[in-house]
Amino acid sequence: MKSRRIRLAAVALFVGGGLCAALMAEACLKVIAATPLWRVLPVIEPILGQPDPQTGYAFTPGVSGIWVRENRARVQITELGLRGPQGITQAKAPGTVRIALLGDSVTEALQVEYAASFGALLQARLNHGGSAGTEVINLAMSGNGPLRQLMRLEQRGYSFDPDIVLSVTSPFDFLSGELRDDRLNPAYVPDGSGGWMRGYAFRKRFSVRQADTLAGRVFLDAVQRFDLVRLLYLRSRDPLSKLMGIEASARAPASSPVVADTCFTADLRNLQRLWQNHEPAQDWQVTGKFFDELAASRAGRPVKLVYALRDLPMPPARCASQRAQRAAVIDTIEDALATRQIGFIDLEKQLVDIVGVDGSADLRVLRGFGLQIGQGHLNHEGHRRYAEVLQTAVAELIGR
Amino acid sequence: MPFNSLAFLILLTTSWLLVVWLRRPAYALIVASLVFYLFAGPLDTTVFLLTVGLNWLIQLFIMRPRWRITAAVLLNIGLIFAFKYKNLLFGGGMAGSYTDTGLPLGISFYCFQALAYHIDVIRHQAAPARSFASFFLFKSFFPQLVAGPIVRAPQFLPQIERLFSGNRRRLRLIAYGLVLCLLGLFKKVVLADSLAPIVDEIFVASPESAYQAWLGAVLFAFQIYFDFSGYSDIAIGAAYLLGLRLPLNFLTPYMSTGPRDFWQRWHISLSTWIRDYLYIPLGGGRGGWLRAAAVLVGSMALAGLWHGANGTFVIWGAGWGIYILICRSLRDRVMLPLALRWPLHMAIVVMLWVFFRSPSFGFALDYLTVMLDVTAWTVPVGGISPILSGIGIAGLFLLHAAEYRLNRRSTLFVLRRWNGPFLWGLCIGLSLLLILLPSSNANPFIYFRF
Repeated sequence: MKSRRIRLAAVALFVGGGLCAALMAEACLKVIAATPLWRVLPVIEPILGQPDPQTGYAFTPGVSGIWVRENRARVQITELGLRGPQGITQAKAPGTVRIALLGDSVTEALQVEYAASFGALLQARLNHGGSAGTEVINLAMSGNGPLRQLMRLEQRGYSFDPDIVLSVTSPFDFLSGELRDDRLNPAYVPDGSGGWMRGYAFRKRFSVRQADTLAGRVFLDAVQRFDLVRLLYLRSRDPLSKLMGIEASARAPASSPVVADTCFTADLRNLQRLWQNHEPAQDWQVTGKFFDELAASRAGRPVKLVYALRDLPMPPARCASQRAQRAAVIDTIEDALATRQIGFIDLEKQLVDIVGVDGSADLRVLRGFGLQIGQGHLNHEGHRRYAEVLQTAVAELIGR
Repeated sequence: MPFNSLAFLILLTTSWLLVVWLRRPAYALIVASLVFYLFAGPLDTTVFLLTVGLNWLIQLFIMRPRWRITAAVLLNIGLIFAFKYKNLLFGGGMAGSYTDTGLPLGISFYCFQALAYHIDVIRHQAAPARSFASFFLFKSFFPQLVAGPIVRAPQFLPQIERLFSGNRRRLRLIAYGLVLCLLGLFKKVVLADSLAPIVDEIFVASPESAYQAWLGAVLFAFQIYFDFSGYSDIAIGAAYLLGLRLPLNFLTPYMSTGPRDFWQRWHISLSTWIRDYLYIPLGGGRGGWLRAAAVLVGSMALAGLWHGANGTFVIWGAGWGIYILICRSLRDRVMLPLALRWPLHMAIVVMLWVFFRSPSFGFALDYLTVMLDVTAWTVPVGGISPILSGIGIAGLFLLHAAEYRLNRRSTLFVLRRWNGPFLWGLCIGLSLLLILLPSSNANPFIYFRF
């Protein structure tokens, strides 16, 4: 009996030690996050959103943290559930021009502080010289393809009474197939009569079903509030091989030579197939459906829709035929948007002109941080250049 | 299998349980060591098993000391040469440079260990292993297999033999072992891996100013120290948990005030190996000044070459040799006060690390030129501010000083007093959380590359 008690006490002490370890680790992570040490020492990346039955995923208002991927930056979601700017109100002040900025992770810009993102820089540029009164509301979210952008605009964007809706999107989003895949996010599905309608298969997912239950809310609160819970949750989603450290032990396979497509022939051929030959047929149908719905979403509101296509590759001058091919694709896109009264900005071409380079390949310096320059999301210079290009286009629209 | 992985934690826990439960845990440790090494891949495992087997055959069949030494040198140095240095002589790239990972894991360590074993047995400083199993475990004991400390037969082999004897063991140093593992993980995961991206960025892009160059070099000095001493701490701690004692490999080297002092604190198992099996047999400090100088600089250059087939490592080693030589020559004539001696010594240590970290000799010279150009003391745009980096570096030195206090015998008494389930739970919990901490990129232990 006595030895059993001793054994139980030992187990209790062991568990107590483990709990103390957890408390110490949580305290240390909080101290790191609150001091300049966050720039160097390990921090746990934040979970900024939660499952949403309408759009798949939405920001949690007021949540904040330190973004660690690619570049470290403090990020905070506004009380209205936006990437920024902080302090914006739902109601628009008289005389204010509001621009609703739509996009994916490039526009969301978690890799830099909000003030350095092109949304904030665009607002600063437009208000430069005392002509305050323009607000750029950043509605972008990671992974937001065209349809999720539209749904976010319908759900949240129009409630801000914007004068301009500016979407910064990649043309390859229409080719990736995600517009037709509703397993993770809303997408178009066949309506049974040869047309397409919005599908919500993702609502069957456990995370979406549980999001609004008490257990789901408690779990989400714990994950967002406590670094340690978040650490365990994030690591539990890693593949077992990574968790066990097997990936780190394995040797990197010998690299095979990759022939760079410096004229972007394949990319342009795919875009030409979609926009000019209307192939693959299903992609073309949902693309048309999407732009029809985007145009119709205004529903009589006096709002200008502008589509800024980024990453539509500009071949160097020596690739004359590919440049001509690109120009033809751009004309087709512009016409398709114009018939729906949607403005168009060829972001890539204007970037090439402003930076003064020969083609898209030279714009890689606008992406990536540190040793990863050339790959990933926009860096500080990239955001500055994006803002520069968009300012010119938007200033024309609002007459500044 | 990296030490900072869940796989290692599971292997270590399983081995510990087997050591506690089994009367003769040696065979379980052999299996654990094989599992550990199998993670490196089939080629590495085959090379390792062949090396152990051939070294055993040398002991078994070559009786004449001179021939045995010759065979051991030919086999072990030949293997290191074949994998590490052939490109240096015959061309074909920089195999063994700082970033190279194509070597069989830990080859430099286990070949040196095998060579030392043969020499010690021939000198009658150690009894030969009683069986192939004990020889195999002596060579393959997994905590020290891939990056040392380089264990010696006189100290380690008797401990291994005891694992086969069936005598009851008392694992009295569990708390000390766990604390060492925790300290090592902290050094590696929190400190070394956090410094790595800053250092890499400065060294890959070349520094823009003297400030940045010094920052990169000082941070690298700490990165490599925390990385390697962290590994050694885990190795020693894990061995304590399994009832074995490995030699100390680091003793707060940046608290040293001169080059000799430094090498008595840095990678002690390698520096004593070089001293006992290379420097002294070559003549040591005997003979004329020129001969003694040549032996010293040559031994240190070879110690540098051990790290890889790159001229930068040789220059690094030779640089240390020259530095020791200069200090030895000035010993009786110039005696700087400690307040001057330590900063000057640290500046030289940091400058020598530049050779170690640089991909080529030319790069190192350019780097040193920027370091010494005090007119270009500007902070690059977007760089870390001098105040912040000054506080950071001061913090690193303070941590180093705190470690100096931790290394004292009194710590052992304190830990023995606290030894119990609470401390075990605390250490295991913290270790587990450190292993789970996310890392932005895979940072294998630096000395795994050698």
